[in-house]
Amino acid sequence: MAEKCSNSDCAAPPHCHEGHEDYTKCEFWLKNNSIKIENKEKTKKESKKTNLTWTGEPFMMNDIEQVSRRTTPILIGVVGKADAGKTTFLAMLYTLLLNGKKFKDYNFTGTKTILGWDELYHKLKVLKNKVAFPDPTPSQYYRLLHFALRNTDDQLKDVFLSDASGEVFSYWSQNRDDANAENARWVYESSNGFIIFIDCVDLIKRKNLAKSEIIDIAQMLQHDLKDRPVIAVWSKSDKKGEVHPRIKDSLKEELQSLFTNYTEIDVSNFSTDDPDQLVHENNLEVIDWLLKKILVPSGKELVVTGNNKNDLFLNYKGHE
Amino acid sequence: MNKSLLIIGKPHSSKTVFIAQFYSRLIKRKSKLSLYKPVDDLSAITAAREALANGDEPEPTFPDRSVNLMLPIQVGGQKIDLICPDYGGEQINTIINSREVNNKWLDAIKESDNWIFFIRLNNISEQLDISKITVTAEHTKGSSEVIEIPYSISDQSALIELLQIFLHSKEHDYHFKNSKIKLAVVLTCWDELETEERPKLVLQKNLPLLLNFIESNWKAENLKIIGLSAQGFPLDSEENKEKYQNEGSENFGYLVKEDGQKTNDITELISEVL
Repeated sequence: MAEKCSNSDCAAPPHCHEGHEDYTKCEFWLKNNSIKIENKEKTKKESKKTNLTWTGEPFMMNDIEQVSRRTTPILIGVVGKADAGKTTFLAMLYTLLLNGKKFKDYNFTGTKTILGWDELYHKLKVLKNKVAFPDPTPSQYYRLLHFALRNTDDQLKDVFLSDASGEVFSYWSQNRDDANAENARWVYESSNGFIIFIDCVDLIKRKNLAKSEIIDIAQMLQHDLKDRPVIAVWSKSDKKGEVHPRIKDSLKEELQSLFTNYTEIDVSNFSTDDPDQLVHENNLEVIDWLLKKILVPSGKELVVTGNNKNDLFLNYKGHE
Repeated sequence: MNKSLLIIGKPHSSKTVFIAQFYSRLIKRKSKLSLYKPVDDLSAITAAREALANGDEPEPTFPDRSVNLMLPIQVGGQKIDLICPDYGGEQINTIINSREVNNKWLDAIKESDNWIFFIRLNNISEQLDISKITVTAEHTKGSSEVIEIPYSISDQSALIELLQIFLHSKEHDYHFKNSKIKLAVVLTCWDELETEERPKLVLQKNLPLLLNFIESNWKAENLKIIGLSAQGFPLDSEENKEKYQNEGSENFGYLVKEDGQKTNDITELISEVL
């Protein structure tokens, strides 16, 4: 799934070993990745033969239909600039579930994208004291990862989390109609709630420059938000103490004033304790909070009264 | 009355040993279940029974082999013709890897409402991930030194996907918890685990997401989590082999039921899932 160059010494994406400015134009890159496409098509054909309706790989937009036939899925938009920890957050979610952590009010009932999840989990494995972490999500690329969940009333809910590259959100934050920001626009229009990533390490290194980029994204997020919930995730929070207090406080304040249906949380991938609040609890809490906000019935139920006393269908009010 | 049993298990999860031992117990007539007439064709388990009688572990079932053993059993007053499939466990790996369910398997899945899922926990590889360690500077310095581990699907994800494929083949509606299929998750080679804990807790500790998936998709009354040692102990020492040669394989093997109680009558596994 995560594309690699045919040259095992090459670090692309993003940096080409041969020095090409665009690694996707390099012959060694193409050698590996044109074959991949063929393989993908082959798998699709095979799965048709076997009547499996899903491949286990992450969904694309038009795959959603497979799930929307059974429930109205919830889409969570994962928003933030490159390297803010969006993909790693997704990897951590599945890793925690694999290790027995649970969402508060939901049980894991399945996933159509288990290979996508599992490959992300793979990137958080530790070998010889080292962790690979997910590769940067390529800019033209986006994927949707799926969970089927069952709530305490045994009702089925389908949830998708978007994983688009951070670059598209940067383009989008500068120009809503940017030609390169199509994925960001789609995520924005389709999502029921949002996670906006605040990269603590970037705030330490690039200070106010990093802060203003987050505010730009947040502003754009706010423009047609309506009442959709937003949770700000301070990623790499094990380093949050090193962020200049002025930057930290003003960013916090500005975000709070932008959004109404809003909260914030600190997450990290590095445990200092067992269990560790930032790692083992808060990553899942992000989804718990959003689901609670998204699934809360808003407003009153529509009550229809009429004079169709003899019409069985119009009088039907469900299982009362 | 016909009932097809579906025993799902990867290679070396002791499917064949169980079926052979199950039959040996049946003909002893000391079990809850018994035969109400002789079995017509025993060839499916001949080799395995011979091996066990000699105190040897049966050879793994040949990957392409699929045979059915029909056992005419009596449970209480009820007569049931139980169809036990025996097949090479590699077929399960093929389903996972190729995502292909051939017609033979599709029929077997559709026909059976009594599933037994064999999992040998000692064959599940456990891998360290970042959430399990307390991170030190050692883990984070010099990202260029990272050695990429070649990707293969993790065992837990593979088992979940396998069940999803089976449920799909059965046209399961995820809106509802399963009330049609009875499922027993059986932790095999229980003696290897050296534990006194209840099977469900052991599964929870080792494959928690799989357990969560199963409990979220099955009604509690249709789900059992059981421990099984079909052999009782490994047949790797002369002493253990001699026990089998002298006393007969049917005198060994045990079940650990949901409440943690041990029983030597391994036929009870079948009555749990009928």
